[in-house]
Amino acid sequence: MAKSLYIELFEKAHQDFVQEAYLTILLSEDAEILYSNNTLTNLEPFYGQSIYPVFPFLEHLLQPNIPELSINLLEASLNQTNIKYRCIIKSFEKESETFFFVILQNVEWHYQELFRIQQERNEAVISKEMAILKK
Amino acid sequence: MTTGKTLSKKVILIGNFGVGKTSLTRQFVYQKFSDEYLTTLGVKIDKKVVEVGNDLVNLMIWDIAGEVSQTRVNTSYYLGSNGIIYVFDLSRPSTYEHMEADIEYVQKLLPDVPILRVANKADLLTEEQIANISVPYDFLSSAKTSQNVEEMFLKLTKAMLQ
Repeated sequence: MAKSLYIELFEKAHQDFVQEAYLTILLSEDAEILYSNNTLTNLEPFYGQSIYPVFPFLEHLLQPNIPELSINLLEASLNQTNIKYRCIIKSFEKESETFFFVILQNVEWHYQELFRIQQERNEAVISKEMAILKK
Repeated sequence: MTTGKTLSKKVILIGNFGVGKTSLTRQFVYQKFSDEYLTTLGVKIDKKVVEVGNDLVNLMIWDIAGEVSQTRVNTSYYLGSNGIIYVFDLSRPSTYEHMEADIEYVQKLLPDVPILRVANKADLLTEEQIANISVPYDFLSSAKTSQNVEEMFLKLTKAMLQ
């Protein structure tokens, strides 16, 4: 296969599996939306406005004194649909101003796999406990 | 219509898995209950607006996946919390045996944050069985019958405003 085809394949795969799965947002210190890649949801109409009406859970997570924060699995509503995210927040300074860079990765596929394993484990533990209590 | 302030408060629900944290949240936010047990992964976030006097309080409810010990919970989940609900299952002693150690651990991370101890699944036990359980709790609850569900969230909301 020619190198140009690999590049084309890579770019398509990147678009489908990486770019489309990550919403990235640049916020001011006051949680104002400055810029976004607008995947998962289009934030462009909200530029200059607070991120909190869109993602209320960020209100308790944006901390300028914490350079990096990660929540591996977070389920929250977006446009009345529950979505499973991995959330990474980085805070940094540029020319004496503080900014936040928020990365929200859609991890629905990962969630389904983990859910099955965890559900089986928890059900087994609870059943065992109940069986012992009934003796 | 209220004329007061609008505030935002973060409440976390913690405790062992299968104790009913998600069911309590679901009953409080959506007035729904299901007998089916569905494990929570990570954290599930819901929102409900509560009126306290003239003020509106946006409660951000963080239903954190149950763990046998709170030391195993990612501390990022606790960040910015204003109130804590520790839930245990009255029918499973393993869910309240380590409650005080768990609470001590969380209070070190979140000093001065009000905390409620909630004894859930009261519908599964008789009054006599409940009377024989000696662990302390603030509310006896049932997500199934909605017993004390509104009351516990309202009490915590008021405590967070003080």
